[in-house]
Amino acid sequence: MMFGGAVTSAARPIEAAAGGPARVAVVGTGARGSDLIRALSTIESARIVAVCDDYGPHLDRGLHYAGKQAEPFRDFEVMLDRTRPDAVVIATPLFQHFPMAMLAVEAGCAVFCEKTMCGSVEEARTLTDAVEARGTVFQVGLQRRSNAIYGQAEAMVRAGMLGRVVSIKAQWTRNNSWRRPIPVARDHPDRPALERRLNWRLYRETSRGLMAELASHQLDVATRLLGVPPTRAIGTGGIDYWRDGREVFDNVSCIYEYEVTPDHPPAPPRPAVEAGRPYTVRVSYSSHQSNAYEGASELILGDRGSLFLTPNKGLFYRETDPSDPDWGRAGGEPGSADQDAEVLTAGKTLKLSNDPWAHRGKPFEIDATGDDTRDSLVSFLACVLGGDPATPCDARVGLINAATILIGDEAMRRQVAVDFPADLI
Amino acid sequence: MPVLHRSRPAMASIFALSLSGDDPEQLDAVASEALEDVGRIDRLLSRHDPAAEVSRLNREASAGPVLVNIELFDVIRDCQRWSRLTGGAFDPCAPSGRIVEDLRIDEECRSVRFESPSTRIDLGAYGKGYAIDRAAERIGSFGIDAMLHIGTSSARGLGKDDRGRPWLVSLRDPFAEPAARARGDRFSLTDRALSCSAVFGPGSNRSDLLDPSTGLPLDRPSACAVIAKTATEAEVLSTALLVMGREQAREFVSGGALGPDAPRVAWIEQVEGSTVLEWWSPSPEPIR
Repeated sequence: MMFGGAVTSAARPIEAAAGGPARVAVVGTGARGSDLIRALSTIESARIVAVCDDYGPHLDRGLHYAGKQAEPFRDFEVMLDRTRPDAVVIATPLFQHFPMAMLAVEAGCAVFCEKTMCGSVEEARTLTDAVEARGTVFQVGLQRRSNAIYGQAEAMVRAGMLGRVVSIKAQWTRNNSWRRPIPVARDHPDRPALERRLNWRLYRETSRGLMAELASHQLDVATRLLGVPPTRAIGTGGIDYWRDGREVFDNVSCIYEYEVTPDHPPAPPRPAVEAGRPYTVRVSYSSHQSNAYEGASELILGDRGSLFLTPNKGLFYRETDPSDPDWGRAGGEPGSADQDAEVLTAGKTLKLSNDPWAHRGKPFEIDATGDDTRDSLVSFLACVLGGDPATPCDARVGLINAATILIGDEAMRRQVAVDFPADLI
Repeated sequence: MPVLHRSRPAMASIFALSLSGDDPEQLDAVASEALEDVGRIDRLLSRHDPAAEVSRLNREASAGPVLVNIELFDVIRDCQRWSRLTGGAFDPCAPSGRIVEDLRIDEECRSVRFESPSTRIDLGAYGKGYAIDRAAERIGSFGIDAMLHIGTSSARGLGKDDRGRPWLVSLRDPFAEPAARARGDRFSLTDRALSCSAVFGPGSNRSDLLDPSTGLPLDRPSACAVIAKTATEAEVLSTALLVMGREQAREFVSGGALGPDAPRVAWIEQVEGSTVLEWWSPSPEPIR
């Protein structure tokens, strides 16, 4: 097998296929891999040339979605060697991301790697160094980075619509076991191996649990909106409900500290002299699997407004309810009765309500414009074909994200505060 | 035997599952996987969710050919087949166009194009049946018995319930106001699907079913229930037969176009103020 070869300092546009389509190979054709294949199959600038999985039923499913031009492989290295794709999409279990991404980078391929990028900071650092040394086009599958709602949220934060961001809360709650069904009986000799393979998320050797699979998306939102990585994490977690032999926590709670240099002065009555002084934002994250009430969302809290974010809908609430009377407000038509005056209407009464959320007022709604998974692949392919390493979520973003979830994981397991790796700040 | 109930919102309705089997852990895992499929199909076929494939098609296919994934392509081909088979009575492009004439597909490229700028596709009814069938396939592949339904209009049974009996269903009088208890016979839905459609929803005097030939809402109060092998077939036919109207529907059902394993059809109308349910073709065996 020939990997390596000349190290280039910058990504090159794909010569053989200027203007596309890019020849794409997908490894890992389980549920997520199949999502990616389905999305790729609708994108003109991609041609799926190969799909790879070492589990037969998944490979068959991936091949069905990919279409008849795709060649099936059981072995990733054989696939790389035989098909020499322009880009590799990696949707395998977490522990396989690093070795596969390294092989793909060394083979000169562009890489789209599902989140979390790697299962250890060392691996993530090594991979990022390799990507940056080669100028590889590399994207991590944090698709909120390609979602218009989160783009809008970032613009609103930067424009100061929330004022100073003071706190972020995020959670992903579900009420199920997170188990994949095993297609053989309990006493079947293949059962233990299939359990480890299909339920890889539940075992420490192959997974970093809820932090890697769910929190990674949402903590990336915090890091993106605050503009800096966290400085340290504390946390607590355990296997509290699903005591079924799993090794990863089914209930996690972490608090991250972010040291932020403000780009907006605080709202009155805080003195403006504090405008430039760094301050701490605490981001609290939780995820559990025995109550689905809160679902998955992020709440960005500023001293002038709040943003409730999900991939399908964003809601912006002003801190002061717009329907509140505002005595002393200047305005109105010059010379008219409403100039600098609050206008009162006879018979107007406050609507009585026991609504516990009445203080929030009416939100401004932000809607999704498309499928963020597909949009993230469209952006990736444009970078692949243009030889542009500035993807919407490059290896450096993936490294920061991996380190973020891993310090939370470590804080929970060791029951100590864990600092963010100093060299990454 | 343990039974597990799970549900999720989908297709502007609630999709619900009851699974019976002797391994609760496996039931939970299978239910999660089936509901994940339902979510995926909602994301594929919804015309309200901007992230759905169908929404993208509706946004872009008037401007030129749009690549769609193999699953949506197969769904569209199946809809075209049903539209031809029912003489246009089933048509997810109504009222803005006809799926056979105004929607062009390219098998080689797997692309879809609309002939006219006003063409839109709405897979609402088809999608409900399709979601039930895909979830049923997934559950069945693990050898688990289940009842699946979406809202109160479409259901499919697999195997037996937790007491080892067939999954039972009965029909509520669609004309009763306020909604009445179920009347008449109960029957088994083992390895069969049922869908019922009515021209008017409860308490409504405007139909959401459109006659593809006129583009106007249906106006004769009637309802139709279909028991078929798959929920997709039951959904498509219960809608299409209503669009055909009683006489044409009856002719269609007895005409043999639906093959040897023809579905069973109940036509429900009000005659002199009381509701009359009439089974065409062999009626299902009632369960006492």
